[in-house]
Amino acid sequence: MKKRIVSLFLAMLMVSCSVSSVAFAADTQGLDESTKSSPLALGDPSTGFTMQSAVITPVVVRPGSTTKLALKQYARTTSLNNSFAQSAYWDSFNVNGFNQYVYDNNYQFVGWDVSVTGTYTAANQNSVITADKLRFFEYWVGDGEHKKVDIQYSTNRTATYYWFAAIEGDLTDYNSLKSVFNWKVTYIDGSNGKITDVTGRLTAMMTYWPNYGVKK
Amino acid sequence: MIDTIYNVRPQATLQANGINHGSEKDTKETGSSSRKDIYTPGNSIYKSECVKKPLPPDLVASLAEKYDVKNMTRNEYGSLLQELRDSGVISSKDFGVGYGGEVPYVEPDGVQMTMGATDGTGLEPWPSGNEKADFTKLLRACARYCTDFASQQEGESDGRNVGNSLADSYQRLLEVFDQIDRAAQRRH
Repeated sequence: MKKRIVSLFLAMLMVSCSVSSVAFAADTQGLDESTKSSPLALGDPSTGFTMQSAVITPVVVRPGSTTKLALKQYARTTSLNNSFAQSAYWDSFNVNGFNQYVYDNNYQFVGWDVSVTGTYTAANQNSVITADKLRFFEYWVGDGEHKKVDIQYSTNRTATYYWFAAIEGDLTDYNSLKSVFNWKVTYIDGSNGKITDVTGRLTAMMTYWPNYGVKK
Repeated sequence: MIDTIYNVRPQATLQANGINHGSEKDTKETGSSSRKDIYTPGNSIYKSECVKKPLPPDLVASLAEKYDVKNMTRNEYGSLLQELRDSGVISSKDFGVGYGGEVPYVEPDGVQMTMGATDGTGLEPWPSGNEKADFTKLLRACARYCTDFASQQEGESDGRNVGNSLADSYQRLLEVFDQIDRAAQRRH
């Protein structure tokens, strides 16, 4: 009895494998290079924009000048994980010497350059299941206007989005700014052919304390 | 194969209250925990513009022994600049520019996109924490960036003056760093 069950199981397994191979061969026809399947690999990405790092760089101006200056030395990089909702922080009290530097040079602090680097990814790229196919990437900051780009040939490509987060109005002892970068990836679901959306965001939170730790 | 379809303006919102560091916090921040990154105060670029002295051979030798300008942390870089400033080899202005890593910043029109890993300036990020970097390469990139920026500005404009002034500072720092590097190579 035991032998019969094992034989039956093996037979079913063989049939299943041969069906999968046929389906696999059919699925790969007509796909572009970026989505063609190769042997199953672990860690296949989710479909979307996999954010890898965010860089926040303070920006100042000299007195009497209109030219803004980015301070590369005081930029901070945040490594991001694979989640689609991420945060990055920049606090001047954590960036030792920054407040003093701005004070000594009589600079006016005006805001931050924020950039996020990520990769456009599609699920099941390396599996026998039909991979998702990317179509559009839509992005915006806060409630600002939206931009949309065609990403159908951009699977696995790295891109950086950057913007300027300005401090509005007069500075106080504590200045806090939250700037949210939102994205939406539209793709064709490989399993059912339906057009689907996935969204994500990077929340950048910055604070500037002009007088903290400053020797005057 | 990226086509821009719509325009966008960024909208950053000013927060009146504190921020909640607990939400969406599954991230790893590098650099900001570096508590040794201490700026040495007291020398605003507007207070003194000392004339730079030539780098004395004995000082070159001692600096070459202490610093590998092609493989330094940010803190080592800061200490080297401090020694150069305190010995009068570089001006306070050059110190300030180099210490802050100042480069002209062109505010993007809304959210901009570029392929690859870079930031708004297009320059390589500087090292953070205990990361080491070739500072001659970083300074050279900054000098080139500032020169290019200046050349794109109208004559006698604020932008051109600032760009050229920054480029001059980076060039002076580079000259000194190159001398230290050559001395280090001779030692080996």
